[in-house]
Amino acid sequence: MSKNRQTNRTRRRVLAAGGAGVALSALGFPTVLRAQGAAPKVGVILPLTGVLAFPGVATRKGTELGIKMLAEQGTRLEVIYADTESKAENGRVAAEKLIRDGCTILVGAWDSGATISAAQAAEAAKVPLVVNVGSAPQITEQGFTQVFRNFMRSDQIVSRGAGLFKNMLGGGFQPKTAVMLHVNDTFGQAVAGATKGAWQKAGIDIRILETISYDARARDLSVEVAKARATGADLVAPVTRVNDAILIVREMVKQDYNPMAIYGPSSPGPYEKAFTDALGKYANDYLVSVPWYDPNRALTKRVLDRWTKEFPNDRFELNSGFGWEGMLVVADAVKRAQSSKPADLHAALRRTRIEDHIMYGGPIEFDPKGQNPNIGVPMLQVQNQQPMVVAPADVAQAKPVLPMRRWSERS
Amino acid sequence: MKRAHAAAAAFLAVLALVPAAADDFQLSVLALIFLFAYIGIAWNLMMGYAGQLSLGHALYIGVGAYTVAILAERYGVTPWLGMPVAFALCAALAALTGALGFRFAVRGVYFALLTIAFAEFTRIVFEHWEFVGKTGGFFLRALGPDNRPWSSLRGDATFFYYALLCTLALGWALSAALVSSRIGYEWRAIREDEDAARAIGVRAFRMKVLAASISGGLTGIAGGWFALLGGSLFPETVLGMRMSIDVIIAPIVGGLGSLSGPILGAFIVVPLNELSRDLAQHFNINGLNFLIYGALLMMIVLFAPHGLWPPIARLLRLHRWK
Amino acid sequence: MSLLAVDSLTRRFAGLVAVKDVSFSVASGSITALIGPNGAGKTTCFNLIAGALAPSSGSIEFAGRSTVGLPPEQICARGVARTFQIVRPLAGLTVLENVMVAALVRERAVPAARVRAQAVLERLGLARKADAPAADLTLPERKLLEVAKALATRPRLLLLDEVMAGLRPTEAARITEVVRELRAEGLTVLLIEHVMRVVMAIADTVIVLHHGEKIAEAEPAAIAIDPRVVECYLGNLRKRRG
Repeated sequence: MSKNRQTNRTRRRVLAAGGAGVALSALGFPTVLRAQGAAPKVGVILPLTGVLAFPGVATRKGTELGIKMLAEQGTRLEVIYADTESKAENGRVAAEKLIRDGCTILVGAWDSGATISAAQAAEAAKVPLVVNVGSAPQITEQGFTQVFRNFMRSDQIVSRGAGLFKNMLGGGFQPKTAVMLHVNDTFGQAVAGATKGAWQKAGIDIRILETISYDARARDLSVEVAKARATGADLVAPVTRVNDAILIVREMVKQDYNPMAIYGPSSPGPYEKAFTDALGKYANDYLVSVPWYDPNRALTKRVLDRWTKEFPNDRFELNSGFGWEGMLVVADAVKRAQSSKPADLHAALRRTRIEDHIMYGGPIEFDPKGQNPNIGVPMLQVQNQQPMVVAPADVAQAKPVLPMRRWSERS
Repeated sequence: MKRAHAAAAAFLAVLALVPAAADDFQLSVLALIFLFAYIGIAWNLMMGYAGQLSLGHALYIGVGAYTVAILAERYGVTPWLGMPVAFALCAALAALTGALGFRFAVRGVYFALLTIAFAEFTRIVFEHWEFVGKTGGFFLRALGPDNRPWSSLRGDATFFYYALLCTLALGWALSAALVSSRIGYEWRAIREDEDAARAIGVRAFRMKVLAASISGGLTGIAGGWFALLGGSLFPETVLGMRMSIDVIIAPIVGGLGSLSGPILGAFIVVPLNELSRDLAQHFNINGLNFLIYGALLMMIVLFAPHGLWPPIARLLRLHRWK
Repeated sequence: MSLLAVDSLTRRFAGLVAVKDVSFSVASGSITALIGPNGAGKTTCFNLIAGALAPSSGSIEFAGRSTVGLPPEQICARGVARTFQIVRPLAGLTVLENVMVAALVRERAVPAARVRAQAVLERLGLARKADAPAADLTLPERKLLEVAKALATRPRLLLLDEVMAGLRPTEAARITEVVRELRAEGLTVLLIEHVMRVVMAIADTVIVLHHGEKIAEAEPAAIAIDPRVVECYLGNLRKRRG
């Protein structure tokens, strides 16, 4: 009994000491001195764990490759990562921690909530924040002075996509009606909401018969797909992430629902390796319009080659692409600023103009709100289980297959 | 009692001086500690004192957050007014939730389930409600150069440090007054044995509704701070299950049924979280932080099943300090 | 004048009538004992009077007003206090705090309740345990605590449910003494008791329940020789032997 109590007490003491140590080191004073003039430290905030870990890690891989390739060209960046655990409210503390550790420029934060939260800290400390991925309009509409976004607003992605889609209509491909399926989360609602208006504006004469939403955690979409099938729509327009895109196609195959096309207006998912691996031949012919790399540029080809060597099991896509470009934007500003002071980097970012980059669109530059207005949106179609650019013509890698082939006619 | 008050005063004095020596990150972590300690105290009034387990306190965080944010952003109402409105709204909501549950004698786990249901219901409503921005979220405008923190209740790390320290001190003082009053005795009697308590005249229904309502109201103010701190609100993050769980870890680790427990708990849990995140970063293994954090929490629960405050209080001979 | 009047009181549980058509009254300032074999419905009677259970039919009047349908806390506030046969201390509170909670029904202020609670503990000989957690008490002490809690509510009618059972003779004597004193101060007492010695010593009236029905009501001396009472107790005894 008494011995027991003693060990108990010892344990307690160890625990208390451990706790104190924890508190001290986590809150300890910065051990790193801020060296001015040397290579600046770059803080990268991403959701590396939690529900957003999958795209977060893809972005990180692109970021890492960017750092490596830019270093080989002479711009060395010291990068510190911070994980938001997919919690929006962690953005602020993550940013403050990176700033504390000497970062004079921040990159992040993949999701809009964490980005806004991080922007609060960046704004207070006057440290520039380069947004690599994050599509909520508010990021550049709330009056932040430190934000530079090299990504597109969700509403613009949708409207550009609508323009492209309009040009594909004609000939044997003239759907009259559509049914929309969308995941009911921040992103799904925004995109679905913007689509109708964007189609009208683009002059697309397709009537949306029904809009069916489903929970982000749905495991089965048979009912939703059956409902969509019952409308008899010529076009299925899903706004999805990866898993639900797979579920929808599987159900369509099972229920032998053969519309003229499946077109996702801004959907991350169909271009993912997980999608094409899971669905094989049934993944083919799926259309989606998202910001994407320009496959014809020399720089893109170099990046793709290098990516295949470094990450042979992963596909280079939107997230890794903008992760890579985030580093390009930072390296470019650092080179021109010749300084690691936040204010100098901020001034340099303002004057950004990068002609040679990898994502489809014009030169990277930032308008007074900090938005890059020159990002383009191509149309992708899965062909031979690879996402291929099929429009616009000047960057197309392949011709679109339309209307899509029946499920039963695939081999 | 005197010893305890002296300790509390010294503790406050030290905390008031910290910003002179700390950087923004440290201040922010401390501010988060204060916030979680405050919510822990509020939640603990209901659980640790009145014995009613709520697993749906995200409801009050969320409603408080949206109330303060929408009033400020859309109607230009200062958070100084928004906070009391958030308090009143959440107190009323909590009273309603509690009254419904208690009237139909829903007890224990079933009551906890009911609190989850109310929170989830509200989350789903918010996700479909245009006025609050649906799942697209609600955002606060960036602070201009002419911002005055003590009027907008938004500012830099030092501002939030002091603001949340004050919130914690006030929340603590109010709770201390409550639990040492007649109400506190009746709450604890209900917690121990509701029927026996009623037999000696404790008005259980009224007291439980009161506990829920004060707890909910105070938590609503914490929600307001969440909005002001982060600037962005999404139903999933402020009203989701995860929030309900996040806010009860500190009081459980620190110890239920005391005011010091949640404070101690927050001082352990929040830095522990930061540290394990640091370690995960250091070893470059995503998710390692959850393993470390989880393991440490498990150890605490194993070795101090009633939380860490009771053994520490004994050690400091503060056992009378409830 | 009767303080408590119970008329045609009936309580059914699923397939079982625990209390059947029981009527009696308790005179103000008296000590009345409720006796009967196990399962006779005594505790159910208490639960009905104290509001822990609602009657299926019948009426209960306390001080001239019906208490049927009132929750226990309101009946307590009117002046009825009860102890539980299976003791129910508020285990996480100290002994003093237990009694203070009860005292708070009348004394709105905490310091006044503390003073009152201390006085009650003093009277029952529990004062030296005031700061001990209630969970640490021995069984006899817990019984005393039950009485202390009930007394601290300043009742007009005190319901004691087998408080003597399991007590040592000295402790039982103390409670008997206290009950006598309280009666002298004007308190009315209704008690359930198995210890016949106690019943005979202090009760003015004895009511006998058997299978939920009242079979006798008289002064103690008359009860002891009532053939129905003897039969029901002896019958029980025979059954047990058989």
